[in-house]
Amino acid sequence: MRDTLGSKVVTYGLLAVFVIMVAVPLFWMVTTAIKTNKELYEDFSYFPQRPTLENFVRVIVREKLLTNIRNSFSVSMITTLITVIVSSLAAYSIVRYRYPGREWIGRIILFKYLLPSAMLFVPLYVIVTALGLGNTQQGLILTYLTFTIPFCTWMLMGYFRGMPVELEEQAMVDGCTKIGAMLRILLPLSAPGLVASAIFSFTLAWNEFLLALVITMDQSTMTVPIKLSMMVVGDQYIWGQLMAGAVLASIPVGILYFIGQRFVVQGLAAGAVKS
Amino acid sequence: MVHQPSGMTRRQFIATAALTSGAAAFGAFVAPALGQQPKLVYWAYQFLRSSDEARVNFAQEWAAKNKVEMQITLVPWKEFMTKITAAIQAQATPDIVESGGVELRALGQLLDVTDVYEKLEKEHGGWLGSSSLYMREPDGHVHHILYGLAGAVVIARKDLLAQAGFQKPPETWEEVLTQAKKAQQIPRVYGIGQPVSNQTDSNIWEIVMRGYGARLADEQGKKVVLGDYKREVWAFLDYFMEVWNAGVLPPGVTTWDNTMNNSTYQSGKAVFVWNAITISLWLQENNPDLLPKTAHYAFPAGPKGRVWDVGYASRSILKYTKYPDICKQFLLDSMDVKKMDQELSVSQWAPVLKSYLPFEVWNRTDYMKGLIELATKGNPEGYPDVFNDAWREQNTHTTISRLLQRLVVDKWDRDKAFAETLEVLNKIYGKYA
Amino acid sequence: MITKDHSIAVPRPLGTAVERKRAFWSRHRREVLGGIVLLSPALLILTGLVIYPFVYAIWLSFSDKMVGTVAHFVGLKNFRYVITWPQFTAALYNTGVFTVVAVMCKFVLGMAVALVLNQQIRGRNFFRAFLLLPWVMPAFVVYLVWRWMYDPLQGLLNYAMLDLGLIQQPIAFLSTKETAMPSVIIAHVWRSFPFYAISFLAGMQTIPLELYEAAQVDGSSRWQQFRYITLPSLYHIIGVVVLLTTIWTANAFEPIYLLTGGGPSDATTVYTMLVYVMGMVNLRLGEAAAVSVLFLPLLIGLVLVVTGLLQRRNDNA
Repeated sequence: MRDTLGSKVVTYGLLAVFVIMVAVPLFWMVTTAIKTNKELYEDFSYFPQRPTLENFVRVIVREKLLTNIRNSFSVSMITTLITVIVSSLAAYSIVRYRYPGREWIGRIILFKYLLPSAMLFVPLYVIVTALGLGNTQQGLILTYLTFTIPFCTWMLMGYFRGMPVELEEQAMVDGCTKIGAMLRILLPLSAPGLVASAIFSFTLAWNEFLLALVITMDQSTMTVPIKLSMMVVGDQYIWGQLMAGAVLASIPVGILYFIGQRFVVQGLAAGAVKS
Repeated sequence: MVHQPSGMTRRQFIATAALTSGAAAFGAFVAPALGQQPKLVYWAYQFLRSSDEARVNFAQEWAAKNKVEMQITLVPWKEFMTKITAAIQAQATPDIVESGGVELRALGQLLDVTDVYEKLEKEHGGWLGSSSLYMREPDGHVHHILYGLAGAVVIARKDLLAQAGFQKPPETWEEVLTQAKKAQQIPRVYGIGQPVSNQTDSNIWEIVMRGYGARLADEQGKKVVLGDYKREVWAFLDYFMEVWNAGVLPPGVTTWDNTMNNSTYQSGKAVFVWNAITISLWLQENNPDLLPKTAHYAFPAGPKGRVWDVGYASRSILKYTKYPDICKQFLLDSMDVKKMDQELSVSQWAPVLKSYLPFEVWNRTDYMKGLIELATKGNPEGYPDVFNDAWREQNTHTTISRLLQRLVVDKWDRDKAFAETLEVLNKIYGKYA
Repeated sequence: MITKDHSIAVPRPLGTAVERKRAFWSRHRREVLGGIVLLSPALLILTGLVIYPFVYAIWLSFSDKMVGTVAHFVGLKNFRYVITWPQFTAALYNTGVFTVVAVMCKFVLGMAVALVLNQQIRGRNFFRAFLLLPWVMPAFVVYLVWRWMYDPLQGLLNYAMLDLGLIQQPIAFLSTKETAMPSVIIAHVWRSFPFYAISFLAGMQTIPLELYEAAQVDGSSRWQQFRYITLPSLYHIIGVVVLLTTIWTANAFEPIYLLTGGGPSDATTVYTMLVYVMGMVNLRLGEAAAVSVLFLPLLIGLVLVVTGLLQRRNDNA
C-alpha cells in the first residue's frame, strides 16, 4: 500500500504525540525512583540532581521485592494458562456446537462483571479458606479465574464467530473430528485472539489488588501490588522506594508485551498465507 | 550517647529474625516428639518501621522463650478492617491483633481481658490520663488493652514564627490564624497545612468546633443535638471562613489525603500542621536540618475551652482463640517495663501506664516531651461527645469537614449545608439508637 | 451447509429410515454431550465462584449483617436508608458521567493509536509494546504518580505550566470542583486506553490487505477506507470491548479512591466509593450490598442496550 507523504507525516506526527503522552508520567516515575529521599522533599526539579540507585537496592534487599515478583509471575502465568484453555473450549462449545441453552450462557457470562470486587470478595474468601487454600497460590489462582474466564470466553466467542466455518467443515469432510478441527484449524487461525486473551488475562492477574490483599498473608505468597501498598507506611509515602518497586514490577510484564507483539505478527503471517 | 531512632540496624534485625525463625523451626521439628506446640497467629500493627521492628522482634523472642509457634503478619492500619472482615467471615481469625480494638469490641468479637487490665493496673501503679476511659466499659468489663496513646500535636516552624515576632505558642485558635498569616511566605510557605477533605485528618475541624462549644449528640450519645448549638456552630464557621479567606490554606486541601500535611511540612512548605510526631521522626532520619526549627505545641483552645482528642493503640484477643491463657500472657508480657522502655523510644506513642513515666526517653527530645503533655492534657476522642459506634461512623464520614466543603466548594449557604449535616447525623445516629 | 448461527452441520449419506433415525439421534446426542463437556470447566468455576457470591450479595442487601454478626432479614430498610443518603444521587450522576465520558475518550484514543500502530512504521514492535505500558503497571502506582503530577505545590504539571507561562497561579486540578472529574477521567483514560488499542489492533491485523488495495485503486480516501472497511470488520471487537469496558468503568474504584477520595465534597463520588465506605469502613455489609443491588438495574440496562444495538446492526449487516 503506497503511503502519501501527507499521510506519513500524519502517522508519525500522531505517533510522536502518543509517545510523549505515555512517556511523561513514566519519565516522572523513573526519575523519582532514582532521586534520594531527601531530594524528593526539596524544591521541585525536573531531573534528579544526585541520581542514585539506593532505592532499588533497598527495595530488593530490604523489601525482598524479587520474591514478590516471582510470586506474581507464577500466579499470573498459571492463571493465564488455565484461562486460555478453559475459555477456548467454552467459546468453541458455544459457537460451534448446538445444544439447548447455549445462547443464554453466552449472554449471561458477562453478567459476572456487574458485581464489583468490593462486594464479592468476602464470600470468595470464605470459599477459598473452606477449601483449605488460604494463603496459597492455588487459592489466589482459583479466585482470579472468576474474572479472567468470562472475559476471555466472550472475546474468543467473538473471534471464533468471525472465522469462516468452511475450513473446519472441509477438515471434517477430510476425516477430522470436530475437536481435531478446532485444534488443527481454528486455534492456529485465532492466534491473535488467543494471544490477546492471554495478555489480558496475565495483566488482570498481575495487577489485581483486593483478593490478593485478603488471601495472601506473608512473603511466601504476597504479590507485587500488595507489597507496593505496604510501602505506604502509616501516613508517609516512601516515594523513592515505591517508584523503584513500580519500575521493577513493570519490567517483567513489559518484556512479555514486547515478545507478545512478535506472536501477533506471526499469527498474521499465517493468516495471510491461508487466504 | 546519641540514640538512633531505630532500635537495631536492619542487618541485626534480619539476623535475629533468621535466628529466631531457625530456632522456631528447630523447635517445630522437635515438637512432635515433645507434643504439639501451640500455634498463635499475631497481626501486628504496621505504621512506623522502627516501632514495627521492635514489636515483631519482641514477639519472636517471646515465642521462642515460651515454646510457642507464632505466625506474625504486619498489617498496615489502612488494610486491617478489610482483612479482619474476611477472616471473621471465613472463620479463620488470628489470635492476637493490634488494631480495631473498639470496632471489634462493638461487634462482640473479642475475649474478655478484665483480669489482664486489673493485673496491669496493680503492677504498674495505675493507668495514665484517659487510658482507662478507653478500656473500661459501663459494666466494668475490658476487652482490649491499650499500649499507647497517640494523637496529633501542633507542629510548627518556630524559626519562621520567631522571624514574624512570635515567641510563645498560640493559646487559642484565633492566635493560630494571626500567627499563621504573619509568618507565612506565599507562595513558598503557607500558614496552615491542614486538609479540608474527606480523609480523616480533616476531623481536626470537628475538634475546633467542639472547642467553640458545640456538641453532636446528647450525654448518652444517642440523640443528635447539634441543631441546638447553632450559635456556637456559626461562630465556628465564622472562624473557618476567616481562615479560608485569609489564604493560609494551600491549594488542594479539599482533596488532601492523610499523607499530604506530612509531606507539605517536611518539604518546608507549611508553618503549622496538626499531626502525630511521625513527622518529627521522619525529619530525624531524612531532614535533620528542619528538626531544630520545629516546635511541638499542645492544642490551642477555643472560646469554650481546650479540646484535644487523643487516640489509642491497643492489643486484643479474638474470642475464637484456642489458647486464651497463652494469649493473655502475651498481652501481659508485652507491657513489661524494660521492653516498653526500649519500644517507646522508637515509636510515637505516649505512655499509658504510670510506671512508664520515669523513662529517660521523654526528656530526650522536644517531641517526646510533647507526648507526655498529650497523655496528661488530652481528652478521649469525641469529648464531650460519647466515643461510640455512631460517633465513629460520622467521624470516618468526616461530617464536619464535609459541611465546610459544602460552603467553600459547592458554595451552599449555611442553612442549607447545616440542614444536610443534621440530616446525615440523624441518619447515622438513628441506626445505632 | 452453513447454518445461520455459524455452527457446523456436516452432511451425511442417507440410508434406511431406521438407520437415519439412529444416526440422527447419536449425532445430536454426541453434539450436545460434546458441547457440554467442553463447556463444563468454565461452567463449574463460574457457578461455584460467581453464582454463589452473587446470590449471597443479594441476600445481604436485605439483611442487617455487619461483620461478625448474625444476619437478620430487615426487608427494605437498607434500600430506604441508602436511597436517601445525600451522596446517593451524586453517585448516580457521577458514575454515569464518568463512565460515558471515559469510555468515549478511551474508544477514540484507542482507535487512533491502533490505526497508527497498524501502519508500516519503523520500530513498530517497540512502539507497540511501549504504548501499551500504562496498562501494564499496577493501578496503585499509576494513580499515585498522577496524583503527584497534579499536585498544586509539588507537581510536575503545575510547575511546567508555570514555567511555560501558561498560568500564573497553580491550579489545584483534583481539588477544584470544575476540574476534579475531568482530571480523574484523564488519568483513567491514560491508564486504560491500551486495552482498546490492543483489541482494535488485533482485529485490524486480520483484515486482508487486498481490501485496502482494491479500495485505493478505486480512488477512495483514507477516511473512506476507515469508515467502510476497517470499522465494519472490527464490528465484533468493538462490541465486546465497549460492552465490557462500560461495565468495568462503571465499577471503577481505584481511580477515584486514589486520586480524590470522592472529593472535593462529592464532586467525584461514584457508587463504588459508597460501597467501599459502607462495607469496608463502616462494616455494614447490608448497606453496601444494597447500594450494589440498586445500581444493578442501571448496569443491566447498559448491557441490554449495547447488546441490543449490536444485535440489530448484526442483522442488518
